[in-house]
Amino acid sequence: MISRTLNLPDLILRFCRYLRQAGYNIGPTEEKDALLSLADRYILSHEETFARCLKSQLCKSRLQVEQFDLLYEQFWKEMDRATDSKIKELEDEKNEQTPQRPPPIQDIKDWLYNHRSGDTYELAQESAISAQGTYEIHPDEKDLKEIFHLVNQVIHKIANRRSRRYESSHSRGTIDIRKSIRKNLLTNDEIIKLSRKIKKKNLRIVLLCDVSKSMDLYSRFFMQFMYAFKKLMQRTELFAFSTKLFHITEEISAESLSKSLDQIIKKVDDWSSGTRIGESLQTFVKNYGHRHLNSKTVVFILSDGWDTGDPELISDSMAVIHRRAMKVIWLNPLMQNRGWKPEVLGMTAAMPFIDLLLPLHNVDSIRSIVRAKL
Amino acid sequence: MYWKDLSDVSTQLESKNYISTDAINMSVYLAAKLGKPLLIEGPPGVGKTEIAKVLSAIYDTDLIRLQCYEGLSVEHAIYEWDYHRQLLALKLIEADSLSLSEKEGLIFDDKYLLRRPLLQSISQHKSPVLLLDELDRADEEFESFLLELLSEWQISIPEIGTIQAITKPQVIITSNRTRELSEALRRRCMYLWLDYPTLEKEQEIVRRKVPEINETLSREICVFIQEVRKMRINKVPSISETIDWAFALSGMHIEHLERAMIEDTLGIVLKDWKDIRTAQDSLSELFERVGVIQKLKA
Repeated sequence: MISRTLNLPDLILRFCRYLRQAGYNIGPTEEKDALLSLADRYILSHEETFARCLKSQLCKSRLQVEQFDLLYEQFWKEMDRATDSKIKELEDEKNEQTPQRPPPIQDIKDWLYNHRSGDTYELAQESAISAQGTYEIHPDEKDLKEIFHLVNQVIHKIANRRSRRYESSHSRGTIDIRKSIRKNLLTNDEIIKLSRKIKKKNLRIVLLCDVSKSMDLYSRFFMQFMYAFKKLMQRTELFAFSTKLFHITEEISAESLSKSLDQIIKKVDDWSSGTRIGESLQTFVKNYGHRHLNSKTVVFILSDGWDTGDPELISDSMAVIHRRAMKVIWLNPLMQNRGWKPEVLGMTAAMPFIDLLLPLHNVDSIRSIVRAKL
Repeated sequence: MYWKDLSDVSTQLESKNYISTDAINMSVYLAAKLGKPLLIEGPPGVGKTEIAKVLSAIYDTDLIRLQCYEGLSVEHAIYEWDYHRQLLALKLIEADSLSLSEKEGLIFDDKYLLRRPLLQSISQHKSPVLLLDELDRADEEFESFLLELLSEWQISIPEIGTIQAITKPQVIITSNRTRELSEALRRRCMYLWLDYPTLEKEQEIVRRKVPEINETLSREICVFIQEVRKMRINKVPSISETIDWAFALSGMHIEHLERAMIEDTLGIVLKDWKDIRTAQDSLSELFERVGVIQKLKA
């Protein structure tokens, strides 16, 4: 392989591209560094140092370190095959999925505004098994007020933890000497005006809401729940998922609930279809995890755990969320049923990574969240 | 750059009693060559911090260490003004009729500036080794700040202005992966994953650190520890535990691992009572696997 020194830079760039396709985060800087470090006679003269050099240059995480050797081997095999049979190498394999027919918008609108078609209602009842609970079908403004009131309590309960960082404060807190000195330079060298600082609050909330068919019965209530969260706590990020994941924070931030719902309907073209929790969670981790998950994030997942996808995907992504977030709370509407156990495949896969499993199906059940030890 | 070539790295590290691997040598060499920070991740106690210490000894330069923790602030990481002396100075010049800007210039002077590790590391004439220990414990705000320092090599202090680095330090960042470090930071660093050593490496380490130990005992200890690491326990014993144990057992002039002795000294190896119980329950099994029993019979 080293005998191809003539076009070595070209090969390395191809290899970088190959790794990029495998999910490695390699940009021009990494490529440049890889080339630069290979301009070392000693490294270039041994095959194993050559490989190790690329490895330590291009891997940026443990997973990548572990995958590297295999990818490296595969790459050269492919290169050999390509030169042998003169076929075009490194072809993109894109498994095009057949696009699903989006449900007609009118259907969803009807449903959201409680003009249900019999079909939907029947299915929703079926999915809720023998729900004995008193779920809200026609919530009015009074309910929303109550939801706001209770969600506020929930937020207060989880947000009482303060950061170790300070922010300036008018009247409370310890004295900020640095600021005080600057402020009082103007006055006659005496410290008269004191500046104070307190530890700031830094909690973030992420809500992931299942809007698949099996959740139809509760989706409207969940939308109200999420709307209340966003209104009461600025640093809340909201997502809806069924077979795909949708970031709906912006949509739900409208001034009124009905406006928010209108916008969400426009965005979520996948309402009440199947459920692929694993894939949706994976998308979340991959695309939003870095921005929205940290040790100050409380993640709420609102779902019944009924899943048609791969349960392994659920446990994998849940493990990541659990590791990065401060707390993972799963709110399950089916928990209201007596004798309910987390036996659905999706639920059992997620169970080891849940800090708290609570019921959420109506306004009353929010109280149980307030009472729970958060 | 300090190193002559790649083979020089392993020779020098070894001369300082650091048993390295090919991957470590390569990362250390490339980090120095490209002038990049070296990000080392791995379980606790595998010698991440030690690399920084050994490097500073080899380069014969200062080791500036910053232990990270949640809420680490500018005052602790970069600089702070010496408020007490500033106030005193203000009192002393009270009678002088100085203008505001003159007063400001006087008290925000270099002599009232307390340099914390990061500022210290860029204002030295001989490039030091800067160790940012357990960066995963610091919060994201600090990490973002670090990005600026690591790419621009300058620190701005509002009262004085921007301070440019005199020399770039060799930065070593360690992390225990209690949280994921940001992609942006990773991209600016060379990455090295350090795992528990292989049996041969571990034996070599014990031999270096506890020279008085006899060969059989050191082998038995290492095999035993390697087996314990395969068990499902909360806190896996690290290299330092192996060394401590070897030290203790050889200090008692023991020739072979014996069951009773292991039970008595298990507290050196395992630091969690559940782990100790698990290990005690499967001690016979462990023994069998280690092959110590056969040796004892022999």
